[in-house]
Amino acid sequence: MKKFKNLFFLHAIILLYAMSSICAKYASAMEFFSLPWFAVYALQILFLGIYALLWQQILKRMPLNVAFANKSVTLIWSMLFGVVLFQETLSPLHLAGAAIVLVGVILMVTEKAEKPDTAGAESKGETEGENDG
Amino acid sequence: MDKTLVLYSLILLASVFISSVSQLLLKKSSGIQYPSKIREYLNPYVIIGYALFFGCTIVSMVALKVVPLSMSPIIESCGYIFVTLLSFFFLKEKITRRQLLGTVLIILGVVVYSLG
Repeated sequence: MKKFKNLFFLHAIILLYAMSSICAKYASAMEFFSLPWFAVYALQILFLGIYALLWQQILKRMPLNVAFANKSVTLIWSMLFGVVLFQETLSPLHLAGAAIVLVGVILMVTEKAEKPDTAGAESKGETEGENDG
Repeated sequence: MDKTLVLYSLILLASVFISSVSQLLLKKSSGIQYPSKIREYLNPYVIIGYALFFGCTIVSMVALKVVPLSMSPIIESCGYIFVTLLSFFFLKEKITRRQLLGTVLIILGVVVYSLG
C-alpha cells in the first residue's frame, strides 16, 4: 500500500513536470517579455521548482532507477498534451520513433542509477531536474 | 520535415546541449567540499549552472514557437546522450554497454520519428 502511495506521488510529480512544458508551449506563442508572457513563464518556473523540491523527497522513498525509469513517461505526457491541447497530429512513424526513444531512455537512466557509488552524487546533480530544457 | 522545423529543432537541440553542460557543472560542484553551506550554493559552478539553466528555458521557448510539444521530448532525450558524453570527457566516467545501446536506440528513434 505504501509502495502504491509512493508511486502515485511520483506520478503526480511527473505530471507537474509535464505541466511546466505545457506552460512553455503556451508562452512560446505569446509576445516575449510581455506581462502575460511573464505570468505563464513564472508558472512554468513555479512548476519546475515544486517538481525539483518534491523530486528530492521522492528519491528518499524509492530507488533512484525506479524513479528515473518512471520519469520517462514524461515523453508520453508531452505527446498526449500536444495532441489534446495543441491539435498536433502523430503518425504511426512518430509513435514508433517515440517508442524506440523511450526504450533507449529507460536503458540510459537505469544504468546510471545502478552504480551505487555514484547514485548519491547523481541525485544531487539531478535536483535542477533539467536536462530537459 | 520542412526547413523551419529543422532549424527550430536544432535550436532546441542546442538548448538541450547547454542544459546538459549546466548539469555537468552542478554535478561537478556537488563533488567539491565547500567550507560552508552557503558556499555550496554560492559558487561559480552552481551560479553559472543555474544561469545556463534559466537561459535554456528561454531558448527552448523560442524553439517551441515552431517545434510541436509532442516532438520536444524526442529532441530532449538527446540530453541523455550529451550527459553521457560530457561525463565521459570531463568526469572520466566510463560508458557502459547499456549506455551505448541506449544511445543507439535514442538516435534510431529520432531518425524514425523524423521520417514520420
